[in-house]
Formats: sequence, structure tokens, C-alpha cells
Amino acid sequence: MGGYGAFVWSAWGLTAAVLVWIALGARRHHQRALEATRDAPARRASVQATVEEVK
Amino acid sequence: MWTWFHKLGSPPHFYRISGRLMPWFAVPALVLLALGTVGGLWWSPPDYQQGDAFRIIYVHVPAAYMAMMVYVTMAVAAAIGIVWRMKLAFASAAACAPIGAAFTFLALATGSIWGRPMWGVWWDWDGRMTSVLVLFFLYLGFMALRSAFEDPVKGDRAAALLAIVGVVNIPIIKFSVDWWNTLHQPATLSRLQAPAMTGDMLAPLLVMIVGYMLLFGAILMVRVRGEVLLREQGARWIRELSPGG
Repeated sequence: MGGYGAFVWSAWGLTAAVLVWIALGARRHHQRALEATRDAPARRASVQATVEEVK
Repeated sequence: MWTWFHKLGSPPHFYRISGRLMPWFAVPALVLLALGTVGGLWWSPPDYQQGDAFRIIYVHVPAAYMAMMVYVTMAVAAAIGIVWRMKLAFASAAACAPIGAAFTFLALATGSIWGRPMWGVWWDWDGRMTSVLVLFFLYLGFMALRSAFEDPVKGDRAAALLAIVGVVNIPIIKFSVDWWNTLHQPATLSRLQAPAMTGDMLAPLLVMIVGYMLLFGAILMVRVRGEVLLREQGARWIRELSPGG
């Protein structure tokens, strides 16, 4: 790399790391949203009054 | 056209379509990025003035293009959200922000790494670099403003206004190298002029730019799908989703 190897490789390495990070971040975001969606009815149920409380 | 527009604006329809479309963006993106990497690092010849340091162009220029393109996409989505009150438009604007911030960070960081051996400094407060830094803060401001409201609808609208106002920064970035004296070189690619590079240097750059665009498309779809799920919690179509989405 004609003496510029450190600069070139750090630019490409940083780019690869950030691109992988945003791709995995998007996947994690979607997974968390899916889990939140599945938990949503359970969360609602946990604050509902029991039959005993209503009586 | 309007029927298509309204249909695409329907969250369940978008969720289904984007799930099928996403691999068609992700796979070509990975292929093009791999090709562009080999082309940029090994196939293209060194620059006669900058030597091999010029190879940073293949990651810096696409990141800078995407930083601006994602912002314009975000602002258009925000404007559609404000005018037509489309939930999917607000979800798209919200999904654009972290991706755009990442591309802007990459443009700033790789530019700084390129600047050190070429200009002798990591940073210079000139028009181009400062306006791109402002763009980075606009993305961060958008995300902070959106999450600052307890009512997500208000957060969406406030952040959308910021995104629309911030569009004024895009032409400043674009023309900063023409308007002011700067260390930064003029535009590498222009629609009005022949490219300032030879074909063997230009080809990997174009491949990388298309690769970045497709990668953005794939990541955007995944993020919008997540946003749609969060916003549509409790809707019947969400409850009917098969496990694994």
C-alpha cells in the first residue's frame, strides 16, 4: 500500500465494522419488536383484576 | 398509482412485501460490496499523486453520498407523514435516522483518516467538513427529539419538522466545495461533467455506491418492519403473525 497501509486498512476496517454493526442492529431491533409484540397480551393480562378481586 | 401508494402505506401489506423483498436487496448488496472491495483494494491502479491512499475513496465517497441520500429520504418520509398522516411514513423516517447517522459517521471518520496523510491534519473546520458534522448532529437531534416526547405521535411530528428544516443543509454540503476555499477536493462524480477518474478507478467506485444503496434498502426494510411491529402492537394482523415473523 505504498506506506499508506495503516490509513487504508483502518478506513476499510472501520467501514466494515460499522456496516456490520448497523445491519446486526437492525436485525436486533426487529427481533426485540417481535418479542415485545408477543409479550404485549401477557403484559396486559398481568394488570387485569383477578376473579377474586372482582368478587 | 394512488392505489399502489395507499396499499404500500398499509402496515400489514408493507410488512409482508418487505419480508419478501429484503433478500433481493441484501444478497446483491453483499456481492457488490465484495466485488467493490476487491476492485478498490487490488484491481484499480494507484493514483499518480496520492498513491494507494486514494483507495479510501471507495469507502468514503459512497458513505458521503449515502449520508445525504438517507437524509433526503428521511425528510421526504417525514413530509409525507406530516401531510398525509401516514404511520408508515413516520416509521420510515424513524428507521432512516440511525442508518443515516452511521453513514455520516463513516463519511466523517474515513474522510479524517484520508485527510491525515494527504493534508497533514485529521480535521479542518472548512465548509464541507463542518456542514457534514452539522448533518451528523441533525440525525442525532432527530433521534433525541423523537424520543423526548412521552406521546410518540407528538415525537414523530416534532422530529419530522426538524428533518424537513434540516434539508437546507444538503445543498450547503453539496456546494460547499464550490462556494468556499477548502482543503477538500471538488466532487468526484458530477451529472454535468465527465468523471474526473479513469474507467478502471471509476468502476469499483460505482459498484460500491450501488452496493451501499442496496445495503441501505435492506437495512431500512428490516428497521421499518421493527418500527411497524412496535407501532401496531395489539392489531389483529400482528397477533395473527406466525412465530418468527
